[in-house]
Amino acid sequence: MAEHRQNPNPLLVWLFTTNHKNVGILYLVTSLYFLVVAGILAMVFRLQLTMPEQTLLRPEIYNQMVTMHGLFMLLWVVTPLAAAFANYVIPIQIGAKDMAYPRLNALSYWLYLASGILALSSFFAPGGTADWGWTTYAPLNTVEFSPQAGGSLMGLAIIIILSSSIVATVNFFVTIFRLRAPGMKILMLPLFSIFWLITIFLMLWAFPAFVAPLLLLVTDRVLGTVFYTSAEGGALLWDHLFWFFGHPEVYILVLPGLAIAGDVISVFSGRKLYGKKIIYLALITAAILSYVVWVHHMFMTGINPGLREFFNITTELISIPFGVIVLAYILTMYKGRIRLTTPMLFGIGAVALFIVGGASGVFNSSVALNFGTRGTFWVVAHFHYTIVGGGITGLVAGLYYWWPKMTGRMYNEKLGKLHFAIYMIGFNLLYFPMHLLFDMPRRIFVYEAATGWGQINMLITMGAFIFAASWAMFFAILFQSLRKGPVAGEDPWNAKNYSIEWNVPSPPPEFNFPEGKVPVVTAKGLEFRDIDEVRRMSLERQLAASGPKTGMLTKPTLPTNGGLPTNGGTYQAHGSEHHGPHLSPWPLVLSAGVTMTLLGLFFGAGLLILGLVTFIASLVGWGWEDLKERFHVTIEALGETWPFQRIENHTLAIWTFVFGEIGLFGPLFMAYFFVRANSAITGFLWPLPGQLHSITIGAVNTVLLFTSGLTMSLALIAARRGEQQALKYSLLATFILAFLFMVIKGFEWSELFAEGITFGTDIAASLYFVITGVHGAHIIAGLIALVYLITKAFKGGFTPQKHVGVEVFAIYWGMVDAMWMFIFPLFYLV
Amino acid sequence: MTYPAPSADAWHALFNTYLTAAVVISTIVFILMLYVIIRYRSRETAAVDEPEYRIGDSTDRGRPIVAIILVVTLAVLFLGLTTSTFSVMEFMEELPEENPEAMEIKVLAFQWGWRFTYPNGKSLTGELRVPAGVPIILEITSQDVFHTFSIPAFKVKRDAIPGRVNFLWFEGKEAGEYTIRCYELCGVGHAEMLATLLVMEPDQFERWYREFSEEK
Repeated sequence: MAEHRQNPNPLLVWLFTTNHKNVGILYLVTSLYFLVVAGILAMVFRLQLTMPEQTLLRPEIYNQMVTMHGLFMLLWVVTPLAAAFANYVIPIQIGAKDMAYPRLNALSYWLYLASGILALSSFFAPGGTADWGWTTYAPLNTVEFSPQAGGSLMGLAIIIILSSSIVATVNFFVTIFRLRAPGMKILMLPLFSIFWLITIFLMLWAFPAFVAPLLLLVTDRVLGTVFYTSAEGGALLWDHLFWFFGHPEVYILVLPGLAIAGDVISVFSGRKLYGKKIIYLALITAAILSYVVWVHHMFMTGINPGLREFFNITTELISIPFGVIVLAYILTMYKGRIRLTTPMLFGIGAVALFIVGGASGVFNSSVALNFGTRGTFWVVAHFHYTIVGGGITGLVAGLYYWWPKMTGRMYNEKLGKLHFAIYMIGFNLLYFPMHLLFDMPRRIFVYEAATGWGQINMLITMGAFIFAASWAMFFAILFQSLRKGPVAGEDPWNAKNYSIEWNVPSPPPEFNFPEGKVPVVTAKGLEFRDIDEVRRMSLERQLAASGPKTGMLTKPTLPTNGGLPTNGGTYQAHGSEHHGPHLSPWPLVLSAGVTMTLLGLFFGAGLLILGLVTFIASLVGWGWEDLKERFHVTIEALGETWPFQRIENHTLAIWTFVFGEIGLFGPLFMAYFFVRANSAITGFLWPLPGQLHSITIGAVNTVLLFTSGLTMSLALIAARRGEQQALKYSLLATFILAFLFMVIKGFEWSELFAEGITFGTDIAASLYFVITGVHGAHIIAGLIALVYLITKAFKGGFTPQKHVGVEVFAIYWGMVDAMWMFIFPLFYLV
Repeated sequence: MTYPAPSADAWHALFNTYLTAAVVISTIVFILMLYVIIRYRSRETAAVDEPEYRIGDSTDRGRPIVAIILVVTLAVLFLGLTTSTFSVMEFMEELPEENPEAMEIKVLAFQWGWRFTYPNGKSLTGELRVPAGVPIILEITSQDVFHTFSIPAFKVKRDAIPGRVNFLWFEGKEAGEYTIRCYELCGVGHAEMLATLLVMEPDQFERWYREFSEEK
């Protein structure tokens, strides 16, 4: 697809690709592969449950399969499948030539694959993998009760996939906000792009918020900290941290599918969406509410009744915006000319199934009904109706809808409709009877005949087989289409007035649009205009907008280099449409390094060393590629950038990242306060200020770090003024100060170890080591970045116009300083 | 239909209220959906000549009043449901501590079973015997991992969390045998973490409890 003249080898193209469409297809294939894996797991344990007192599976295997089914489906299937479409379609829908950061996009994918490989290999670690259910309740998840090494590997695998998603989040954030075509306002985007934007907003806080409890879990399991084993932390610490992530996660899973349903309903009824702005309002309301409903997963934990009543109400409220969205979808079809194509059927099906899931969700909001339904198959029915019914069915609609765009071929519509019929029959036979099992506990591997659950379970298993068959049929239809499908053409659905992707060839060319042209949205609709004309327009607008005050940004200058603008890295000068190769090996190498390092922790030191070497090599290679400017795919912000007109891509990216870091450090500090509050109850005595950690040494380190913040600011000023010497020495000073900080930190740690205070001494020590450790890891990452900046500075790589690396690092470094402003008082002074 | 415990009566009544609301609303929505699809179905597979949408169109259609009506309707409905939930919640959570007849029993969950300690300090494992018609207060905790105590037929449930004590109360109406189960995955024995609840005639219970207290 992205064959380039210089790289004829198709295998290398797939391995080194950074093209958003190729990355999308990689995501698609991989997520469908994991769907099959997780589906087979479900079929096997479904067989075990078919009849009472079955002996097909031993409980330890059954528990692992249930756990892996849940984790795989939620983390490795649904969101990556949605990400496949987001990667492939969103840049085209917004009118961009690629994602803002093509290499980071490839990195997201390779880290995703790496995490999947780690997760699969955890099965083969001694003692098997995680067996505590996807909710990973403490303290069952600790070494005492689940000693198998695979559990820790699984925890690391989840951290990697979350990191991959965080990278993708930053990338999409910049792409959607900064790379829209001229005239393409946010409100004009199709639902899929908008819902994805809200989804990544949710991810930006929810995913780091899941990294935090997992980090504590992995340190508990590997280093012996006591977060989930001590009375101060324990079960409820996990519950709060996990479910704070867990509920936004539900919407992260459902929104993309629901968005696709809305888009196909509008396209195939020939009508505009009904009340699009109200849909957005409802969506944003739901997204905000999703952060204040988590306690409804904890109704039976015995926490304060008033708190539970509050969460009862918020949970009910969250179903209202979804009611609004569903009604808007139905009214969209009213007086339309409805074409019941396969994607349309699946779109309508997704809405129908989601209604059932929404209805049972209202039951679950009731504290009193939880006395019966909590932890039963009723809940299993509910979340499969929402996540599979609403989410995955919508994604199937999406695959049918965009398949001709991605492959250039149509599939057999009659078979598609038959697939829909079998899918719906199988789905409902599988999940509907689960509602009747509202006394049967989840995740039991066997039940007695006397319970009378046998017949319903038999029905469910039959449904499962029909549902599985519908998936086999789906893959057969797609395979047949690839081999023999008729050529689809640009616009097989007559949707060219709906969104940009139906105005370009199927599959689209490497940079999406006709050679030398970019899309422009005007009052009359979509046009493709000459890129130079659009560049000039954009520049004029920027000059007009920036006015006399440009803030911290570089003022755009009139072009001097043959008519092409340079603007602090947003633009790169290049003669025509000749791009550098759209390929880079480093995302792949980096993630291979991560995979080998983590596997090495469990399977052998040789692999570990090889992994570390590969990882470091990838960083050096990546940095070198940058210094030599070997990779320059030009991704320009030429059009709509609201509300970030005055902020550049890289700056927006780093601010987004910083926002995500709040999602990581927030829960870590919450854990601190939770544990300290509990210490008052359990009677655990915190070390007095100065007793454990010398205030003097802490103060010295504070001074060192804040001074490094100062030198970094000086470096930034020097870079803006173009004072090369000052820039070099300020960067060097920053490096030395940060390095000294780490040396002193290391001294502090080794002193503590010498006194016999280690990770697991008590909860105070655990918190100290983990939080200062995470902060230290940020400083080490900063030191690595500084090596790159210093090298570049000594090569004279920064000019007053182009020094975005310094700008970005200064913001990052400010964040690292700010975190210390919390850490120092919390651990040294109180 | 009658249920074996007041808590089950309250729960099922509440469940039926929710069920009625859910069935009525989803039926209306499904009928509306089906009507729209059947009524406006177009037989032409190819296309609409002139679809209403256009790229770059930021104007909206539809009436906000429709959304407002829906929001208000759902809000009123949920207000009703919440009120009934809160009253059932109060009934199920208000411990009958003032009731002099009420009996307090300690429940210890462990991998994998249940131990019940009576006011006389003696314990039973795997079996809980209580008199019919007497409110029983359970003090639930766990000695190892997170479990969830429940008597499904009575619709009572509480998490058993190490380091925490949770309370629930129930009352069996008549003599009978019921199952106690764990509802949170707690390891390989989760499925078989059962106990028997034996609700006895009060006089029989008296007799048994006296003998039980005298056992060495």
